[in-house]
Amino acid sequence: MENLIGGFQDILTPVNIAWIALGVTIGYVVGVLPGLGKGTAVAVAIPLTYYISPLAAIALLIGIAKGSTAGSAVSAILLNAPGEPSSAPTALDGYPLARQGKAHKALKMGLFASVIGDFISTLVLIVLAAPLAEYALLIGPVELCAILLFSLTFIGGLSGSSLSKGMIAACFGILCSTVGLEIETAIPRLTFGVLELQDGLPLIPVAIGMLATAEMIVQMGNHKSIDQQTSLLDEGNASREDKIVLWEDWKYCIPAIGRGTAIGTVVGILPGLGASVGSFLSYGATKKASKRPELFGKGAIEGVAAAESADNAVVPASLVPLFAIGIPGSVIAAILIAAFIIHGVTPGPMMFVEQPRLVYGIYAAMICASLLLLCIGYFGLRFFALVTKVPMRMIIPVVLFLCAIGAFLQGDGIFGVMVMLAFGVIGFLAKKLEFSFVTFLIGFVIGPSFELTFRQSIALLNRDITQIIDRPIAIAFIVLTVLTIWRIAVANGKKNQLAQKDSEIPKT
Amino acid sequence: MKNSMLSNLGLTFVAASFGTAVVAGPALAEYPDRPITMMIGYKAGGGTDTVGRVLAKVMGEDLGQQINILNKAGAGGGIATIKLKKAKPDGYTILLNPSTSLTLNPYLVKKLTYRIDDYTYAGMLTAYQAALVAPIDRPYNNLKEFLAYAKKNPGTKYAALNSTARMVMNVITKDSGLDISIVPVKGGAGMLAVVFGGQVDLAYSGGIHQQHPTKIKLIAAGTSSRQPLGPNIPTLREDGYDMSFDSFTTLIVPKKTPKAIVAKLEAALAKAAKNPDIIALSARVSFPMAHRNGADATAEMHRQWRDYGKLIKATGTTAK
Amino acid sequence: MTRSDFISGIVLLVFGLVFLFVLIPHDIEAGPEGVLPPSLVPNLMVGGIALLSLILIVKNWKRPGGQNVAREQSPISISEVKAVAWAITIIGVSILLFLWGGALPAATLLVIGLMLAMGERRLLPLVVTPVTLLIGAYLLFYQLLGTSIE
Repeated sequence: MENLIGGFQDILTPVNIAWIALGVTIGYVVGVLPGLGKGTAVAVAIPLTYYISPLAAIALLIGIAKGSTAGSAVSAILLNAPGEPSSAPTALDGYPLARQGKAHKALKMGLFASVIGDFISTLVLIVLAAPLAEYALLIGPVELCAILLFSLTFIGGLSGSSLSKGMIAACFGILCSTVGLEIETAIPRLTFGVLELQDGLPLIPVAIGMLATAEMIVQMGNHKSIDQQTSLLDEGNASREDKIVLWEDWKYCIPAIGRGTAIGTVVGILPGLGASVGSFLSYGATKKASKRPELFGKGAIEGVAAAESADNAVVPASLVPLFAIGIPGSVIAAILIAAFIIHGVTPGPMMFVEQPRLVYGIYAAMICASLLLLCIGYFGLRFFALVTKVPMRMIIPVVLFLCAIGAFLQGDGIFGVMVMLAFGVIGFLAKKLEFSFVTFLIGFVIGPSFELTFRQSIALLNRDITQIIDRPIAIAFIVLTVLTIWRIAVANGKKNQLAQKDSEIPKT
Repeated sequence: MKNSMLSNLGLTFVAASFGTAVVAGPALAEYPDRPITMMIGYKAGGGTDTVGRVLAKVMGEDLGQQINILNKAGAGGGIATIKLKKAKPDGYTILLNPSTSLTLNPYLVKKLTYRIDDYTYAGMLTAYQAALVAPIDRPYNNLKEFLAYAKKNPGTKYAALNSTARMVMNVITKDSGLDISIVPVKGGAGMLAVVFGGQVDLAYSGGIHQQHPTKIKLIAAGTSSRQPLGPNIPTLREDGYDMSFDSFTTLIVPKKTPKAIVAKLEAALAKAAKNPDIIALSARVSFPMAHRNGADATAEMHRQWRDYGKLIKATGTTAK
Repeated sequence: MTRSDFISGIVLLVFGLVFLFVLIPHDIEAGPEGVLPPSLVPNLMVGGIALLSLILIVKNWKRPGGQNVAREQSPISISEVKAVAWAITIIGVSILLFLWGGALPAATLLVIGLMLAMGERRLLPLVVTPVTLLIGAYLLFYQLLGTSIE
């Protein structure tokens, strides 16, 4: 506790606060821009950190990480073009809300949920980092593989009406993630002689293509009707109730935020899962637990809260393994490790012994970043919400331009833009034919972890599946996976029977 | 450094900022006039990465341009090495890799078609401390005890982060009838995770284990002499396996990089080897300093290539 | 359920089978002995795609009420087909232009082309938007953040 107070003394200087505020602002703005996410934001800011003190540098990076995670909800809600996969579930209900004229409400709820998730997860990091990290090590490759399998089926079953179509999308996503040199043998796979593909399909361009480009193409095909809707919204009486978060809304959202924060924190501590898994699991769990599941996908405010709280809770929690044992648990953590090392700090348990003041300074910076995020985000969203008033024929070219830049920056140049375009078209077809592009993306994002843990599991189990008996956690998740498939199949069967009865009524 | 960028203003500024297609001009004259990318063949958080991060900072300050790190993990540093071969020889893409990723891995992995003569070497900096290590709570303290343990416990697990690690185990278990299963892991960070969690009983480490003396213990030194952190632990050679895996962090550039640029990098590296930050890091992570200039590094590469060739022949390993 | 599912099922089945029996055996080498084959996970995935698309086909085949299916609308509207065509053309040509003439003309074409395709005809926005965007991107990435974009 004394250390923490010392940490606050170090961080509460005008200069350090300014760096955090700058970080949160840069992160938030870059996060808001469709096609640009936290990876881009943190990576481009690294050079800035060479010139400032270790604490300020790390505070800046943390501010960016937190800001961009929250910011990417804005483009998800307003444009249905999430900045990164982990905000995709935010769009599922956020965008319908925005189209109902409740953009302000959705943005505010998104921000509140982000800040709460982030704040609580930060507290967990501060209080429980060491014991949690030790516990997380018990989750070995076999358990992780089972958890990934469960996450994939659970998320696959969420979206879209047909389980088999969801699973096809997931398989396709994992298939795409296997392109490139295989890590054990360096044998190229499915590159068909294209050199650029040896590094694999670049993650960010694929994600941008599937999420933003595809959506922009759909909106391009329907922009007249969207603009008409918008003008109706303008004339309509946008009442105060639609702009603020009511007690009524909080009632639905508080449990969702609690659940989201818990899920996000756990997912963050475990290596190899990532923010996308966290936000989707949380969204799914909230939908499953809801008394009004039929509203999900049509503008349920708690959907936004669930996704955003988990998405943001992942960020601080993913630092737990870094601080406690020196292993980076996420991309952000890997980038932070770089900043630590440059400034002469070896991440890991020795940090608490050698540089306690710095560690607690970082903790204090994280808390400050949470609070600053609330202020900057609250101010910023009023400004960004104006986007809904701009006609689509202006928005779409700008968004596609930003997408191209994002793909260019993170995908080895123009090759990234080509990948973005290809997956934009694939994503368009998937959207229209109701193959869950979201499940595809999750498959693609966790594909490498899944393959590695799968191969590790085979070795750890000595190629003998019965040895899994010693691993109760893995068994539990496999049972959960089977139950999930079974439940979804039964539910879909019922739905289809109903649909058959109603088949005389033409589909809209 | 911003000044040179500003001088680019004019019609070409956007083009220059967005792509290399139109950037030609006098690249040599004031090298470096833009940021340099230093590739590292491993994930962030491993031993090579740790050294590389600090080296990039120190060399960047010396050269007056920042050096950005690009982690290109895979195939034991091989993927980054392949990428460097394709890179423009302009000094803006450089690679920091263990020497063995060029002198040993191509013997082990058929797909690694690069050879030591495909590159130019600007020097070496630190020595790796390759070793076999185990979770601290295991009942064995050296290789002999481990082998006895493995005999009693079939299905003992060994984490291999590259093909060298795999070969070591293959040589040790050859004709011994031991049943040891090899678990692939990605980089030093991946190895640490499974060792910390007790998922495996033995692992090959490039040296990162030395940062965690409370959780990991040395079982056999993989270097030609015993290691500072475990003076009582025999080397593999002393244990009767005729192999050692000396390796150094090596600064590598594409073959056709102009001599003047290589000389600048070489000088910056030599300066870095005397930098207190680097020396402090070397002590902190227990990677002893082993600076060599470009010529000596090239000679060392050839020596390693010959020695590992012999070792491979002797063990009867073939490239796969 | 629908005819589009039936058709996509057939397309995916062909895709899966082609990968399983032609492309993967042809493109991915067998790994060394003692190591799991590199083609293991790709094969599992295309196998899964083939199997699941077969289920999709069967499910939509059995469905009674053939006329229903015939009356069903295409899930993609004509204006959306146009949008896809425009997007592919404009982004595609921009990519070619980038390779041939650099970033400036490519980025300009991308923005102006898309605006024109979406029916923007006023001169002022057509000029102001690309100029603002290009300068903004230049300032943000190159000056403020000091990244070299290449």
